[in-house]
Amino acid sequence: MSTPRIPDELRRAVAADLKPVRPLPAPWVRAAEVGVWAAAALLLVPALFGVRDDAAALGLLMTWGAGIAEVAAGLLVVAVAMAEGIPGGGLSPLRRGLALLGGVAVQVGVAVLTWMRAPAGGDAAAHGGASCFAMQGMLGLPALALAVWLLVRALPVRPRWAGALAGLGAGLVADGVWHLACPVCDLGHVLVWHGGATVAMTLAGFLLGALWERRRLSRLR
Amino acid sequence: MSDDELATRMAAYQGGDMAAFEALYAALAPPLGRYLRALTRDRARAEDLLQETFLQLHRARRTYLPPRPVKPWAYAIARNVFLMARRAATRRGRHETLADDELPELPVPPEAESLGDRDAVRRALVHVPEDRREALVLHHVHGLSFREVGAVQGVSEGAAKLRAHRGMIELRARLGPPAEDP
Repeated sequence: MSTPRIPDELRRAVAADLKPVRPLPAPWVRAAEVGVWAAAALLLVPALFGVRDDAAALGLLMTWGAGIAEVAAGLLVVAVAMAEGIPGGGLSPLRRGLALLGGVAVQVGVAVLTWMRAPAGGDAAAHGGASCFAMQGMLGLPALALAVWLLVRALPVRPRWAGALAGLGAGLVADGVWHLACPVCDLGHVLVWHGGATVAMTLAGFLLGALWERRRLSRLR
Repeated sequence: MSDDELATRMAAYQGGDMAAFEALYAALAPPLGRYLRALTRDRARAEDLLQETFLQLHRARRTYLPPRPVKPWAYAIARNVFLMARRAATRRGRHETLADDELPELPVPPEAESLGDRDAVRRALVHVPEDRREALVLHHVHGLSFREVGAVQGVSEGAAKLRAHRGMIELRARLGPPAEDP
């Protein structure tokens, strides 16, 4: 069998850009880059806003423990998104769905456990839902931007899925951090405003993935 | 070229070695071309997509993580190029269909050769649903393991196995019992 000849156009394109490249780090290593932001936020938010007023009643486990667990779950979902950036390296639809549902379950679980521990709730008037939504957005957007930047440096073959997972991960990181500062345990407040912020972040990731895909489509010959 | 050799060449290519790219092209272009022909059922279009695949593969070469197998990575890129091209064509309102008398460019799995003559098998393959046909071809023609087929198609190993199995059942059903010798 004869050796296939490389078309001239392809040979020129490859030769023009043959600089050595380093393979991307493993997905969990790239997710750890988002973890740097999460760690900084975990230190800064309590320092700037103070730890929630009901921290003593909730205990260390339901304050710091739950917040850090949610951040860890968020980083795990970001790692799943990073795996989607490797062609042939993503998860099956079932596992992707489980990652999405698992992330949602962690946030709902933390909300319910916190509410059960302190059912009286905090001062909801002083911490209106919209301000929590905005704070979580501010905490989550840098994580989302970083995760999406890391994603598009790879080649996600299902960019909308990858974006949604990155958005959910960023949303969970933000909720885990803000859990340390928001003193409201009321389930309605947490599910609507905190959960809403995570949903918004997931949708933002999905849309960014769709935009990136659209851009790739328009560039295709 | 063995999987280990492909991985070694790929690492050298990532290091900027043009000879390694040429060796990879020699090893991967024929099977990827056949795979794209199976997807597009159009030789000229498959040729275009093959070049686009290697361009994408070049741009995304840092997404190959040694020492993982090269083939699932390369086939997943080829598949993505095909799907993107099809979407782009749909957006432009261009629908490419084959004429009934046109013989589809489909590779015949060795396991299916006993079911009938090659042309009959090719024609029957056209009617096997795309995801099943693709799994069938990737496993039986290209020699990818079901785990690798799953990675290319973005499904689990079990789902890939089921698709190929159902594809083969459908192919057998379409071809009917083998003709008896007179």
